[in-house]
Amino acid sequence: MIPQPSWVPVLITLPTLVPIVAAALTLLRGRSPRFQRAIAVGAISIAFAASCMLLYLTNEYGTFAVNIGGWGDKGYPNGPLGITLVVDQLAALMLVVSTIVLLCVVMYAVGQGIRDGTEQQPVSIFLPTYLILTAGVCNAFLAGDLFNLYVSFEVLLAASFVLLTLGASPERVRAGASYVMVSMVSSLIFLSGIAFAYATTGTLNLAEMAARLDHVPDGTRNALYAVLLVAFGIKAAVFPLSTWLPDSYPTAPAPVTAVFAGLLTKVGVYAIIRAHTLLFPGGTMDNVLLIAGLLTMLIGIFGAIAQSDIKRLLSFTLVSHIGYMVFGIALSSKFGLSAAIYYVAHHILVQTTLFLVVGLIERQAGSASLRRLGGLIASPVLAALFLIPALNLGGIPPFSGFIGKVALLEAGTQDGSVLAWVLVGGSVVTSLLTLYVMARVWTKGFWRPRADAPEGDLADKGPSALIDERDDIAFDDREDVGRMPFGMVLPTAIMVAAGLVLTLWAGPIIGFTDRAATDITDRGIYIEAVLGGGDR
Amino acid sequence: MSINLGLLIVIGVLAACGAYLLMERSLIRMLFGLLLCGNAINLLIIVVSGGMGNPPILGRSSENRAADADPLAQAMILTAIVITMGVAAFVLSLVYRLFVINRDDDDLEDDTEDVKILSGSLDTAPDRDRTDDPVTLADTAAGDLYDDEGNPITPEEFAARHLEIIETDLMPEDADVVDENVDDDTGANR
Repeated sequence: MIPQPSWVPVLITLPTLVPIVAAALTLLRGRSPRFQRAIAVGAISIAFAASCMLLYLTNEYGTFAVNIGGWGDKGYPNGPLGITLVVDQLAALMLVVSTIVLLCVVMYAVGQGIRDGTEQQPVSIFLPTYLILTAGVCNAFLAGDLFNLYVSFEVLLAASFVLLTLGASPERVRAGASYVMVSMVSSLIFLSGIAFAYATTGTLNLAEMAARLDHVPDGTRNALYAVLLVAFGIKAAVFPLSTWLPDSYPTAPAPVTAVFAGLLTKVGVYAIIRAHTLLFPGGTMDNVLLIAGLLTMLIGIFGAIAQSDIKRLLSFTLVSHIGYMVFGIALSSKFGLSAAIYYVAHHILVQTTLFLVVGLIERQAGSASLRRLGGLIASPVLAALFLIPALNLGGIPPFSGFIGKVALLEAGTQDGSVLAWVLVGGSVVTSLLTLYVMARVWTKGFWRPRADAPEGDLADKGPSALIDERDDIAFDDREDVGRMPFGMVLPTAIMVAAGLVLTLWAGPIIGFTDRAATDITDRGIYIEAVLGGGDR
Repeated sequence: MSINLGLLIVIGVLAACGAYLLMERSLIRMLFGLLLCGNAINLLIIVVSGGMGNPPILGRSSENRAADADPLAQAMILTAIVITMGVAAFVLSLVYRLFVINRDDDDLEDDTEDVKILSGSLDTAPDRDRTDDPVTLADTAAGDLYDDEGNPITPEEFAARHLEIIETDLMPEDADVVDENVDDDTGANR
């Protein structure tokens, strides 16, 4: 057993616990926006600090597990009865990236709220719900048993329902209703998967299940994996289970869309990685996943080409790039998984940044439709904030998107099978098409004079995606270009910088993801950490 | 382990009815579908968790059954029921809101952007500028408000360029031309 500091079990619970307590506090003092903001930013900062500590500790010592309540079992000293939280390098990396995103987005939302004068509003529901979402996301990465994973999915989904339908305008209710239904159906499929898994193995603890599933007949294992894969696939928006996403996300307020786009689908991807490596190793579903990944990439990006609304366009690129991660997972090799993990981290940062920038564009121009935009280049700050993540997403060297894609292509060529080569080709095509889509946003939205836009004169209406109805910015005043609220620009700039960190320190980070991939492909480490009596 | 066929049939019927209701457009029917499916799966967990009639308390026995009931399955179902109930409450509020908005029903409508793209033409394609030819919708050589060097031109110059440049390759076939300027009564140009 690896020696570990005695306060680690407490540390592991912090990213879940602190946001939940903070959510309760913000509800209690609901009429004081300043208090709410301070608590929200403080709580997520604590979660971020704890995640960074966990990242350092897992890098030094390896995998940690803690059994909440310490319920014993005859076979194991601190056995897996009750709730198990496990943190390994993969989970720690996901936690750190997620909490950076959550922190920046809450600062962005606070900046927007201050600018729009939400001080006078009645009880604000945004920040408490956002904190619950934070707790759900963090808990999903830490969950050590399948039912805990289900509960954290439900927690973050319930929070996302509220955030998506904020203000209950007609289009948000329409988008929210279909989102709620699709999410609940996926949850029900997940729950039936849990029932089958419990019937098959008699446990839901991931480590214990992993050990017992080895003795289960192949057909049963595959059926079980298929059910779970459908459930996770809906959440991760893998084609053909992805059609709900572009209809749901774009109607929400900019910060909400940003955090959804960055995190919610990645929780599904994370669950697929866990199931693929821990519960069902051996690659029986590899070909299915490879084909799904290829179709996700291509159909997603073709969808993006047809869009004129930037938020919808980005939603389609989001779906498309999930395909890259599925590709990396489906290769089932250490390199493939390492590349997939790096790509997940890169994509969380870049996609969130782009949605935040679209929020700024909406404030600038009162619209996010390419039919109405033009001349945004007049604001160089905005142009820079958009161009860097756009090139990053398109995979232009030397950005992290390029590094991640090259790593994936390398892993694909190492695999060497015909299907893997087809996917390598598909990835390159998708990458080029992404670049085309991003270039179109740039040329239409930024370069072209506004007068040339087909509906350029219509854009001067009020923005559709502000959190509240009040806004004190004159949108018919195009001289306002460049005057964006500093409280919104700063978090966006931090996100852009965070995306660049992934580029600058690509070497150490790839080294880290390599070690993480080695750890998750060797299931013994995880099982030992949970079942080996290793919580204190 | 013996299998309780009756309960399995109930599960199947519940799930089938739930899935059927979920296909509807009306949100309240979808909610009922969701609840039926949820109950079906809760029953499924009960069925798969072991035999019926075992005592729920450790160390007790009932009718000489030695085994204890599995408390974990019941705990999971309780959690699932609570979650489903919370979501049902949320969906009900959505139904009410949709009813207020639509005034007559709670049907889900198609996504407006989807409709726009499905019913779109070249004119509404995202790559179009307003400088396209209004008849053929093609890009025109004189379409832009810029000259060949890229300098902006005035509307007068723009009109003049349109007069002098004739794009033969973009000319419509005679059969396609509908002369909208012909007055029905007189047959003369307005």
